Amino acid sequence: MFNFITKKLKYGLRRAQESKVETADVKSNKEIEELPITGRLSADLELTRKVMGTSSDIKIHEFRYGTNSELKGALIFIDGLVNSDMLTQGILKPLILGKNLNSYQKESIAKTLDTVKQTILCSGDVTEKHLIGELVESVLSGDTAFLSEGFDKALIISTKGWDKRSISEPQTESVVRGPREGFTENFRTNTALLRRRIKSPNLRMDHLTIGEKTDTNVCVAYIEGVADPGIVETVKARLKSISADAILDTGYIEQYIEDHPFSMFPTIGYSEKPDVVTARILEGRVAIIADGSPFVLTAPMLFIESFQSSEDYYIRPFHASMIRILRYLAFFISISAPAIFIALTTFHQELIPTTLLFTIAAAREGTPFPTFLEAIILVFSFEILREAGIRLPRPVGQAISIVGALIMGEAAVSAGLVGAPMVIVVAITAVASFAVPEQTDSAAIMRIILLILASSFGGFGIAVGFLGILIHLASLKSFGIPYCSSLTFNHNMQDSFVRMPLWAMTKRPKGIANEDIIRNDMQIPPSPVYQPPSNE
Amino acid sequence: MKVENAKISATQFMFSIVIFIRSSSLLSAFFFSITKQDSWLIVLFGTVVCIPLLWVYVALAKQYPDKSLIQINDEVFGRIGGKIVSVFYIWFFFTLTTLNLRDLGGFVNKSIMILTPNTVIISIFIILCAWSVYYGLEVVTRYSIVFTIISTAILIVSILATFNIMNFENFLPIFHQPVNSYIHGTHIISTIPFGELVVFLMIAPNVEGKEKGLAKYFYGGFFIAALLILLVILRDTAVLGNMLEFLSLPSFEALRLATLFETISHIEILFAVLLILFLFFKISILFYTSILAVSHFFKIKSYRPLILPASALIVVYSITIFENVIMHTTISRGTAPFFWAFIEMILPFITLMVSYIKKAIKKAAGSSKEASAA
Repeated sequence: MFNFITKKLKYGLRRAQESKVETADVKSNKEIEELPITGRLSADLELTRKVMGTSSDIKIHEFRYGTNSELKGALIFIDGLVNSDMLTQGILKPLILGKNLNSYQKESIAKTLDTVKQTILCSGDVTEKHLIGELVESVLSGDTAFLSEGFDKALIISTKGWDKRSISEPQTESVVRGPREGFTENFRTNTALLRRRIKSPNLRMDHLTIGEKTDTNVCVAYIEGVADPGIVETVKARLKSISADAILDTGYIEQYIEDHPFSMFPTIGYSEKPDVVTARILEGRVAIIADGSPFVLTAPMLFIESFQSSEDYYIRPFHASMIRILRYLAFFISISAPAIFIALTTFHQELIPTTLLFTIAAAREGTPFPTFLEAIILVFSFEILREAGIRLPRPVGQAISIVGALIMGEAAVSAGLVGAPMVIVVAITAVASFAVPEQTDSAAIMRIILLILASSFGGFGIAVGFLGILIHLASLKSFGIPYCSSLTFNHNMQDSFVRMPLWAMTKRPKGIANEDIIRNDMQIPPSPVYQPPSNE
Repeated sequence: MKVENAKISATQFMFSIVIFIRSSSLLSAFFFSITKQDSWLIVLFGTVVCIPLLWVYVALAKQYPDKSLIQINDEVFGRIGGKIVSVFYIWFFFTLTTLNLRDLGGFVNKSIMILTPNTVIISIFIILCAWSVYYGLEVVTRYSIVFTIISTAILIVSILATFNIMNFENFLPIFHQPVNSYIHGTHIISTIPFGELVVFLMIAPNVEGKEKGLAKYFYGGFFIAALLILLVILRDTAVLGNMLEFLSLPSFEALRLATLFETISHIEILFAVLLILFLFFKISILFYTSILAVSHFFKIKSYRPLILPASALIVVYSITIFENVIMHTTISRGTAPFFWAFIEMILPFITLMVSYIKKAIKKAAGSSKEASAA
């Protein structure tokens, strides 16, 4: 009998304990975020405090307002993320010193809230939120939340206003002629820069947030009716499938969504200049903007895009075409010059004109290393110099490059460690590799592969290496578009090896833009007619 | 059953034909020793002879627009007969691949890498081709237009560079050879580069817009290529004259004689570059068609598993097929054209005729059925 009673009691006790545990569980952050706003101010603030912790930059300001200051309210915001002028002038001042709320108060609480929203708050962007989680999220992104006794919703007032870098000329893509604006780290500034250039209502900016911890704002910009809907959908689907905890730069996004992660060629383009991105959007590409990054991604990317500079379109076509052909040449030199030099000097001496051969032989006389080793040493020391030059503070960087390039190179030649021709070849390679900035990384890798092939198989090795690169290029695709489209002449050739005059570039690139292909209808050179001023 | 779903554009198809034939012109020594200074006439004769041949190919491709050559055989000759005919083709494709690979190995071994064993060169090259074949038809034919432009540019440069050493009396006397040798030469040129176009019947089903203009592009590619070959042979004859018949690589020697501005003298390196580019293209296409044919033969879903064993087979085959270049030239001059003529001309012709007869019988049967029903 006693046994039975104690059992029952124990069972009861355990139940009680379990229920206690359950109520304790409710207080985990995740679950609080799912709770609705109750309308009891102290309780709501308590929950908010629990979620957001006791960080010093989170401010909860409680105050009284209304006709006789009988209403209790609270503002929640993050110091530093909000514009304090806006906070005092646009929210606090009208609330505390503002209108008579008496008559509305009596009617209903909902009515009061509407009045506050519609007639008191001086802000263009006020929304209502019902859950604690939503409230916290908006506060974290720089808005101010207004809670009041008796209201079961929070008013979220847009007060974003943190310190940001102003628009300045980008460091990476400097031009002689053309706009000098660059994107900044601020999301809204970047979208505004694009919107300001394309005043078409068809410019779409679809918004996403990526990153479990960072909740980064990401925007997919394209022109509806020009961009291929399939590509837009693919981009969005790939963006949505990212499950990373942080997106710190568009470089993260690029690596998560690119087609060929194991290729040395980039298959997604980027730019820091709004005019470049605008031009690409107008060609039917899709731009991806992320908060916190001044680099905007554009997809799909073609191989020849690396050889197009924005300035090509701002100067007249003849020089632009010449420069463009020069870039192709520079790219070829930058990947193959050391390899060709090695193949010639170690395998095919008969191909070098005799006088030149003597000069090279004289320069190489007494150098201790084989040509291949010489080339590898020089190529690597150039890469080291480049890396060091980028990371060092600017004044020191110059000193390093002078010491590294001039003194070390000169000393190495005069000490007889390396031959002067090899230094010249590597120097040309180095200079040429900067003519095509987007392919500098891939060129560095290809250069070394070709170097190894050339030193083991001579000219045949170079041919094999180049054919390998061609095969690899042909196999790449960027969002369904073959990467080397225009290179292989089965694409729109108006803007590839040479740039046609603008009036002759009638079509958008085929494949990228599938609708609204015609870019302009001129097709003939402009022929201005001189109209003499009438005398009347 | 579709092994390859990729589509290539008709222009790519056309220029693939150009490169395919053009690459043989680099090794045009086979008939130089037979027809000597009249070799350029042989090209014209060969072109004329091959027009009906191309008509047969195009008619076959039109008759069965969605089927490759091997599948056409199955359709026309039935299950067992088709297989027997297909075996000939597969052997032919593999042998062609092998021969071209051997040509490349021989050239590289002779002029660039004298001390390297042939096996190494051939193995490296087949790996390269296998890589391209792995990605499929799109990648194999992707660079046809670029290669055509490069080759034409180099041809023009070489003609300009050799212009001062050309002697147009080298063409005289015209029509001074025995009639037999013209027939012999025409036979060689119509089987060795031109007739090899039968390979493209494997690719034809994957051409975009084939319903409208396959014939146009087929003939177009053929004529462009014939014109380019004609130019090459005219250049070589004008430059080399009587020396022509003793050389195994006339184009190579012709370019070796050219000089630009005294300093730039060895432009035969251009020839070497071209040869490697073209043979890469040709071997890739032949390799691709060979294993595609095998996969159609055995009705395998994908040709990719065949790449490795086929590469090994081709390497071994190409090392053992000839003992030396002389043997190769002799066989190409004497025996091979007869084998090739059987496979390139007679077999497709028979296939076309049988398909026509079958069609006619079916039609007659259909109409008689209709008549009996009525």
